Amino acid sequence: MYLKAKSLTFGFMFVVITNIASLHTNAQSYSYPDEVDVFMGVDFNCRDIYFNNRVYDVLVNLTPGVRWNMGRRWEVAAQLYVPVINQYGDKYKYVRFRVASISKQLAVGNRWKMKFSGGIFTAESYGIDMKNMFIIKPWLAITAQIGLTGYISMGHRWEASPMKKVTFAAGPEFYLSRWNTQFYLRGGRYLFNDYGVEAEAFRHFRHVSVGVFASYSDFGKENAGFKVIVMIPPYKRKHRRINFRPASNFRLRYSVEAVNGGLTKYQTDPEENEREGWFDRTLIPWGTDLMESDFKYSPTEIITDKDNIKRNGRKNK
Amino acid sequence: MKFKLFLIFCISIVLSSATCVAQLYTGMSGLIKNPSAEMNNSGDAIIAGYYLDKHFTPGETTDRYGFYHDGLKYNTFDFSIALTPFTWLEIGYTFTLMKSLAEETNKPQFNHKDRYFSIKVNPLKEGRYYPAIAVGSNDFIGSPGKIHNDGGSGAGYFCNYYIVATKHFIPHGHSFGVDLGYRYVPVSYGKKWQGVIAGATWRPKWIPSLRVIGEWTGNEVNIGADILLWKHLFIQAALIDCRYFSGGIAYNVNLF
Repeated sequence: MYLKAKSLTFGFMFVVITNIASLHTNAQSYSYPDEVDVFMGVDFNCRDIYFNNRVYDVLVNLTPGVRWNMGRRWEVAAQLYVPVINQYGDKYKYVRFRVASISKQLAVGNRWKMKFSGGIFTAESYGIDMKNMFIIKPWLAITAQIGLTGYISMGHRWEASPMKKVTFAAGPEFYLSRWNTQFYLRGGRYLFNDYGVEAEAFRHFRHVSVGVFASYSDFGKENAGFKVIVMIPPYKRKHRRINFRPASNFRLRYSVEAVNGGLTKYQTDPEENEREGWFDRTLIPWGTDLMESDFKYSPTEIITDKDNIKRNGRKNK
Repeated sequence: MKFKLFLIFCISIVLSSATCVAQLYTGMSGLIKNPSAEMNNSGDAIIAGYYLDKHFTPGETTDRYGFYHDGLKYNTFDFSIALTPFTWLEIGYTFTLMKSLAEETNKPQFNHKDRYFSIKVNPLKEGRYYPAIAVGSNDFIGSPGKIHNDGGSGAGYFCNYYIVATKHFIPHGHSFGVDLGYRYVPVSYGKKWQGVIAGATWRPKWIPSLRVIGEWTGNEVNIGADILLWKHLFIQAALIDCRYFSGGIAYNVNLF
């Protein structure tokens, strides 16, 4: 199977073309109120879409970020792209925001959790977004996401379009705890105004998750690939007012099709990944939230009701 | 001093009881060019690099595309990752470097690649009186780009489907494995390897991490050996058609 696209068939493209491997952190599940995480990751991209005597074009960005847990599940996060190696072209040579967002998570009853976000998202988008998970059984949940976004570029030219694009996706999610395996099926409308469906299967290991996906959209047609998420040590941490640490996970997405723009999505959180999901692991734990935590804090701290009220908006029952 | 180092090396090999059964050019379990019905342990992940002699790669210089330039086949390298998420399933991904002469250059170089997925399913595990059976395929996904006339040759150089049985015998602590299978090759590139395939392996009881391999690919006899060192480092060396060297190295880790 020899694949090499002869040219880029559309002028505008997002950063992820063929493969993306990126180092991310996901601190919202772990940090305490008023803690600030300062983290550094690496965003690695490679693509194979031109005959230019290179096996791959490479784009490497440093991704310093900051996350402030404001309590009551409010959070502010920001992350930059700092290009280090750039064979993608002038569009990618500038320091720019990857994410700058504010978010709020909440539970409705004991089965429905929600997350509202607003700000600059990945995939050169900005706007507002709402994520939902409705838990039906320990092995079954329904997820739904809807967003109202516009295009924003902070590269060689600052550009933006009005916030008129409606995207959404919904579908069931299955978690088989016996095999620590997860399945997703989602369909919806995506950033190129395309409609499509995607299916993913993930096998979770101690600190690694590996998944395969297949998708179809009326814009990009068929596609498939795999994803690898590796949680990065150190796995033992301490709570401090300001935490400096490396990125906590490495996320790689490999796509068979080099120039497949279908089913392109934004992320609202700098460290969003499929292993940890959209929500804090303590907010109605379900699925991988029930796995042993990747990061353990020492020494164990006694959480008082006052802490819980600040953190969750209520006392622990 | 040299003798001591050699002794330590030998002891570390002997003490290493872990095994790995990679068909290393794809990262999947198997022999050299042939697959086997053996599976790696659940959670095993392998990252491998392999040197392929030109007699290893499919296709001839008369084909429209292939591993040749200017009428001559060339040696190349491939890189692969493979995972065994369950004891009955293995999946892998391989990309093989290819040469061509780019515009405004006068010397061909590795500047593109062929890539493919592999899968193997093991519905029957080896029992006392019956063999393990596995079915699988390499390079089985056609290029959507090709299907929609959007670029890509969709050649399927390494495309094949197989069914294979493996049985082990352990007389006096030595492990002997016997493999027998059938490989179907739907594309012209690897047609010479279509047909009945067979193999035999030997793990000496003194060095259980070492495996000596002989195989009939349907076209030629290959011999080789591989070894797992220090639980993670896997090395394979082989002679294709008993003459042409191919070999590779891999990092093997269990994710549990």
